[in-house]
Amino acid sequence: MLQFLSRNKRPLFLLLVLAATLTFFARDIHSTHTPTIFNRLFVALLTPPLRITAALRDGATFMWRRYISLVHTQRENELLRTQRDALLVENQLLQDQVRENQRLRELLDFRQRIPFRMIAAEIIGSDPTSWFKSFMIDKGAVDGVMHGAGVIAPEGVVGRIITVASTSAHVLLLIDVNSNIDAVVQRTRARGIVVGTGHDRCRLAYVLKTEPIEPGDRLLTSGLGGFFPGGILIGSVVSVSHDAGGFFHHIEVEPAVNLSKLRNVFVVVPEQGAPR
Amino acid sequence: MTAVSRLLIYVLAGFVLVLLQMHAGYLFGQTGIRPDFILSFVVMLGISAPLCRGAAICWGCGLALESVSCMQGGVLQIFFLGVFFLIRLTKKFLQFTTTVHVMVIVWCTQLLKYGYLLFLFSYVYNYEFVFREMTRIWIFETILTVGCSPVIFAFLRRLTGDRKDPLFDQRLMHHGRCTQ
Repeated sequence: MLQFLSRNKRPLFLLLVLAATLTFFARDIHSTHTPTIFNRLFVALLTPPLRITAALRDGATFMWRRYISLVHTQRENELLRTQRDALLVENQLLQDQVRENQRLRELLDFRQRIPFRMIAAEIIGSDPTSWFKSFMIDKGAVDGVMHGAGVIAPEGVVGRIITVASTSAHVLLLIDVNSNIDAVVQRTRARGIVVGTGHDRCRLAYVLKTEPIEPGDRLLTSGLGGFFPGGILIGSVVSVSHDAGGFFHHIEVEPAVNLSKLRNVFVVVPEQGAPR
Repeated sequence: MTAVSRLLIYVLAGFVLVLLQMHAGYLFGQTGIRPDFILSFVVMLGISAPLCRGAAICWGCGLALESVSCMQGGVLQIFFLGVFFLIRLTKKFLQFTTTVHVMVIVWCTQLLKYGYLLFLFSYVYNYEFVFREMTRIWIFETILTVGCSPVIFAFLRRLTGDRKDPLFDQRLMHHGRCTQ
């Protein structure tokens, strides 16, 4: 037996590699991408160098911005102060409205909304292929990130967590072909699903032709599903068209977030003990 | 250079290229089209690496990329192994003596990759976006990959210490036996 193995070690080794490959292929052929122990091992191996290289990259960017590109700082500073003052006033008004809304909900005996908390995370690497739109963040299960959690930026929705490792997680962007997010049109409250197209834009699917949708309409998260709080901006409608025989609009949507320049995000997770 | 140190260099190079590929988003946009450094690496392995070690590294590269992307399991492993074996089978009939030859080989493998992915995405995984979107991606990715391949080859040659030889010399081309 040992003699046979040592004599045929090359074909046996190649057979083993081929069998492993086909096993991986067969395993994922009719299901979504679920990580194996090998995948987890590679993610664990790649995460520390990714963190280091991301820190170096950010350090270089910071140096560039801090020491070389100081030309417009004074003007930007004044503009930001003005914007901050305006936002502070707006924030006070909105807080009043939130308190009023809570009071009215209590009066009407509505179920309380699910409380969420946000985990700040940094992007440490993007999808190595050109066909899928995803990236890795530096927060994982030990930080409280969970599978399916929503990921947002200050401008709006970014995507959802698809795999979680102990110290990193993988985010599927809303423009990826595998992404589906439940949405409502802010103006008309019409509901639909924002589906990724694989390039810079998304489309809003399953909105009936009878709904009066117009370019410029803003799309918000519906809050259904429990992964995103309701009312977060997804994007705005760019164009609306429809087939003569079809039931639904063809709606093209521009995401609110500039995904190509994103560096930091927030993972939205329900508070512990909150109903899902 | 011993066989073990050459193996270690190949593994390290693969690891560095995967990292580089994940940071390519910084240069080409987080969601943009980026060159496939690993494909150039696999082509180089097909030309110069020993059979068993080359196959194992190609398999590892496929697995590593699948681990950090949304690609279904096995797709890239099969493709990289296929390219590796194809190049090994055909290298006696092909020329790898100049940079242009190598760029043509990388272009051919890139074409092969998109044929393979188009088939899988359309008929196996049933993605909606496939044809128009993949044609667009293919054109830009091919230009970037073929354009970057001489740099990758030069980097790998420097790592493996084959500085004085022509791009892929006869000694490397016939170094195909498994010495494990």
